[in-house]
Amino acid sequence: MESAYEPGFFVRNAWLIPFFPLLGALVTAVGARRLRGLAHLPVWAGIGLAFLVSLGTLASADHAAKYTVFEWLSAGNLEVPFQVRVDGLSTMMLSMVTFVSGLVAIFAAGYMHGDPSYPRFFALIGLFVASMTGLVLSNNYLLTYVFWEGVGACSYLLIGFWYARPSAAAAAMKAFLVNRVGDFGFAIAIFWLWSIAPGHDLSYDSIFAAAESGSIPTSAIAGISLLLFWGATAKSAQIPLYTWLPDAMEGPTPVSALIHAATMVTAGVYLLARSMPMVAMAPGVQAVIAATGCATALLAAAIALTQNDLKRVMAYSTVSQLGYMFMALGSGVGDVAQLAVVAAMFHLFTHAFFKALLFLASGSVMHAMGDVIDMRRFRGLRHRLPITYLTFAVGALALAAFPPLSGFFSKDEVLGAISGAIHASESYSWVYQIVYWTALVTAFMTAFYTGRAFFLTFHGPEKLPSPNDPEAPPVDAHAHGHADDAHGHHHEIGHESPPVMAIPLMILAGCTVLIGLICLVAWPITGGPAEWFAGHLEKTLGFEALGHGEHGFSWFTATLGTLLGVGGIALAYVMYAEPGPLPARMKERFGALYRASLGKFYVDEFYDATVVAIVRISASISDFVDTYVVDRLITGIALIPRAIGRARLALYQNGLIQFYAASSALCVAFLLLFLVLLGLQRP
Amino acid sequence: MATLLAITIFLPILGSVALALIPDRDGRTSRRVAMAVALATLACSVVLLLAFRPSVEGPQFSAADKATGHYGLSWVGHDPETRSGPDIRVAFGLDGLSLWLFVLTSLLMITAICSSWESVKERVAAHYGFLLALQTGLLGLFASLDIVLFYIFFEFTLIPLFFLIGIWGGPQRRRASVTFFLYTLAGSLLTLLGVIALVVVHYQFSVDKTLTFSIPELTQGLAALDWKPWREVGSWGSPQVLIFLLLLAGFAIKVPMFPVHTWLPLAHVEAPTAGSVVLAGVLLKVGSYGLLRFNLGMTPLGAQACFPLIASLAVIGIIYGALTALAQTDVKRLVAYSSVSHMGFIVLGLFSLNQTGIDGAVMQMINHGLTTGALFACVGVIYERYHTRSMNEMSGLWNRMPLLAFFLMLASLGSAALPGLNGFVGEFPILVGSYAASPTAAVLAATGMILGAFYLLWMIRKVLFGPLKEPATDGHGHEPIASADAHSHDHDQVHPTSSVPPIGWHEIVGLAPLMFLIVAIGVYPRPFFEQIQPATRAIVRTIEAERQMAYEDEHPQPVQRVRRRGGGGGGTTATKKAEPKKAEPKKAEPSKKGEESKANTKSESKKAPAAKSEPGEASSIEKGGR
Repeated sequence: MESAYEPGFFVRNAWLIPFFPLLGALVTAVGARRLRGLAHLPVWAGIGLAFLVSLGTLASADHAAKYTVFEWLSAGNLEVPFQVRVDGLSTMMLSMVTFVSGLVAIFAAGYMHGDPSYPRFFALIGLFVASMTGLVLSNNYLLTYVFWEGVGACSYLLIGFWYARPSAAAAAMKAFLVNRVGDFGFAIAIFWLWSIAPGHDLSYDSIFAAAESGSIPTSAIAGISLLLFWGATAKSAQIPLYTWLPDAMEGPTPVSALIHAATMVTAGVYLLARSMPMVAMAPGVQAVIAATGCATALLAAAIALTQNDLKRVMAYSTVSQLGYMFMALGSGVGDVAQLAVVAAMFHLFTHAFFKALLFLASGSVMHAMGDVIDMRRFRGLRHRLPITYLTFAVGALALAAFPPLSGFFSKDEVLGAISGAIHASESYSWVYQIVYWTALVTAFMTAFYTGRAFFLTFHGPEKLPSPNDPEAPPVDAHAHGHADDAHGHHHEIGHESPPVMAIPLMILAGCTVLIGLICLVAWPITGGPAEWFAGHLEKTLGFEALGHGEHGFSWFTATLGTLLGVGGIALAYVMYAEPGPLPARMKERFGALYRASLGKFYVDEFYDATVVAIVRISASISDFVDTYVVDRLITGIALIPRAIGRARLALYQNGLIQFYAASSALCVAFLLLFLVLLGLQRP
Repeated sequence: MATLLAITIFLPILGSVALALIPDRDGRTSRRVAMAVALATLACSVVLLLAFRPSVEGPQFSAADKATGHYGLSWVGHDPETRSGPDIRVAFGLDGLSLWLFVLTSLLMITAICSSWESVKERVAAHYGFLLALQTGLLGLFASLDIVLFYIFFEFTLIPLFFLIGIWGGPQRRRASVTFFLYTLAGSLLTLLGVIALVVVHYQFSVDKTLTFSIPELTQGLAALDWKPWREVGSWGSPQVLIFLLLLAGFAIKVPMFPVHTWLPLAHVEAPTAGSVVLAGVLLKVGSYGLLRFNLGMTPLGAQACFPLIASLAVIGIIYGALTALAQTDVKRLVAYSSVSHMGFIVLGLFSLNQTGIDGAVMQMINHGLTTGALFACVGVIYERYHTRSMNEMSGLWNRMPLLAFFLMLASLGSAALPGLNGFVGEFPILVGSYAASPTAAVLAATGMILGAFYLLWMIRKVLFGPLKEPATDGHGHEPIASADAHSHDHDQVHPTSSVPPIGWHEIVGLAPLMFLIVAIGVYPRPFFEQIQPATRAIVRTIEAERQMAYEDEHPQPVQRVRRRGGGGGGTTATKKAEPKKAEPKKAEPSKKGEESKANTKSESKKAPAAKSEPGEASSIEKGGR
């Protein structure tokens, strides 16, 4: 069947999708000095062209579509071709990634305007888009790993973009290291796969075929799935490796929108979705995935309730929403498998739009507030920033799953998948039961913290940041080092953003509404709100073989979810729309809980005190051992000959000429004797 | 081409003789002459690189004696009339193992000369003379086809480096140079014993009782030795194991492997930048090259028997080196310990004894030379300006020297095995190969990936990130340079009060080619592997053939026994086809051990699919339980 497939034009040229942004990045980097303020143009062009090609691939998506561009690595039996796979999953991701990155790149031209390192920013954005699209396109676990680390490196460089800020430096390093811990798991999964794959072929089709035919033992499938999930927890910020993502907000806001909300963090979800034909064969691992996603969603939502930094609220909400995607992935048992993976990817898809929107809108607020993002320092901005206000509202409603916006349908799909798993799972039904109810509680919390952020920022009496504010941090805390004077002070505080920033916001808001409308319109035609999306995703390698039963729209779940969402927003309105005594009273009432949530449940402190401390202490011990034990030991061995020399041989070096002469003569005599005897033996 | 190879090898030492003769008062002429000689050598090396045919397995560019088929010219002790006496020859040639190390030596010499361009002010002619002499030693060593010649060059490299550290080094230079010298000398004397033993064993037990010193002939002859105890496995007293350990002594110190690494940080900290670049970039590879050429090529069963020992030491070295690096505040010491860690990866890859691991290890030798050479050169740039290497005294240098920041970042990320840069294409195959040999070792070694990123990023964070903090430069620093803007690449911010000069042209010249290769190897590694592979394939074949024969010795078949002499040379297909697949699992059974039993159970399941892959690799996985 596969041999009959003839790769079409867009399949053969799909490699252009990562290539164009890369080219744009190179042009920007090389021409940095010439371009200066126009450095965004090559990257815009690159991403734009990549988007056009991606649209082309959408039509030619096929579960068998793959194409080898060139042979990349061949070390012994580790052979990795640069092979692209253009199926439903990858084309969907490609279109989404290039579209959102394009909008973010446009927004960034306004946001980063005047920064001294403007070209560096755009070169890195181009590099990131190239890596991300490469990750999605590759048809090989190792090649995916290559781009997987590549996006991590771009993220590192972009978080540390304002390198002079110590907090940015720390956050960048933390992000890279935590991701490396995850990559460690992914790498071991690859070693394992390599050692059992037929012909050491790490490409997806060969591995899924081997898994399906049973030539890979079940225990290995479970182990590898678990290791892949380990890798995914770092990139997609799940317990226990989520701690880097909130800190990553140290980077410029467009970076947060693009990398740490819409695209890169979904790589883990993508990897597991891609591996679904294999992961679906390990129900135990799936239960672990669902439970971890559920715990992460709840924990992150609980932290988001009390944060004062608008971007951090959004960051924790991202962690929480990624948790929903993992819950959906983990529910892919039995005949729910296909529904579950569609739900996860659909939520990923809609989330990319509304979360990028929310972040960019936050960036717009930050831009207008002179780089202040602490919600205690501004209020009631709805009149000053009308466009930001409206677009943020759309994003917030979508995040709160308000019908008929896109977030409502995708969250409903996720909940539907979980409830399907309760019935489909044989031995882990109770896990999904807990996950389902926790997910509903989390939906309520999501609506509440979204509403809180929204009302605190845009409602109530107007207030602009001033340095005299008691909440204002000490003078240098917000200094970008050298970037500070150049960025954010070119304009008066409190004005709406320029069109280059406002238009992307409006487009993203439009998309959020539009996706919801498509669902609404397509519902009666295709028999389900997300069937149009599922239909495309079904063209993915191995997905058609996943179990799929009949799953109608559950009015119970939808109604309950909507009620909880509305309830959350209503509660937020009551508490925060106008300044009142209620929040303070709540704080007092739940003092311990409030402080724990505000302190992010002290997970960072816990890691610092355990893992980091252990590594640091072992480092000091190693250093000590090296200086005082190993070196001494080796030097000690070297002393043995010296000791022997002192004790024995030194006696003969006594400086007496007579003794030397006598011993020399004696030796010569012995030598002669020896030679004579030797000569005598010969015939 | 053979002449060109000889010219390339001896050109540097002629240059150093010339340096001794040219009168030179201020050193300007000397460094120009040295640079010219090094550039000419590099040009010759590049010509050789381009002329190298990747499809050929044996040594290339070697003039073979038409009558006897021996390589090179007779040098010592041979009587051509009677064809008696030891035939020590001057024979040079390059194969996939040595080609890139040869080119790397020439390339890093440019970096070394560039990095000492301004910093060496005393006895300039002697400094460059020793550097060039060292280059001849290293080039000759990698190109030697004669075991005695190899050993002579091997020892010769000690002398120039001893003086380089001892004269132009830091405050503790005398202790460092003596330690370095004695350490390596002690080891290499044992290696000499091993080398002699190899020759003697071959002389006594080879089929036609030839006394040869030729490395290719010895490799082939020893693989087909007509002496049963030679193939005894599993006993520490077997001759192969003994010779293996003797050879190991010298090479392990050179590599350096844990626990005989302590000379390295000392030598690096005290050595001048040029010395560090060559030391880390090339001299350490002498150790791993020796391990590959002699320990694996000539005593593979010894390597197999000692695998648990070597793998443990390598893994300990990886983790311990990384942890110790993390505790350093001196940038140079940090990079020195990172070498201990990275060389551990190389040793682990070599001793995985399969194609994937060895390919990765050979690649990683080149990579480590490039990245560590670049790192030391970058540290040299900083040291030359601030006269300190303490990370606590500096931060935010990105602001001051954006181009240096770019170089340092690229070299560090390459060293941290970031995909797309060179370190990855070496390290990953190493880990994959060692996973086949021992999953436990591979998993433990992979933690080195995390720790490696930790100390390198820590260094970057301390040195490049953060607000600008410069150590006070002492009086004889440099004047503020008005043209700072013209040099700095990024224009980020060049403070008008800058008291240090921006990165100079000679530093860019020294670093840029390394950066190019760091990216090129990472982006398109295939051609590099294609050059390496024929030679590594031959070594793996030798290992497989010898294992096969040892296996047949242990399990004599009732029917007529046909022994195959696989050797390095022909008969490839015969050996491959002859692998008795059915017998393999039986062999793995008795030697199975706790942690490795996993590998064996897996090997059951992959029996069928493994048939597709190259038999050599498949059987090596199945022998994972040795």
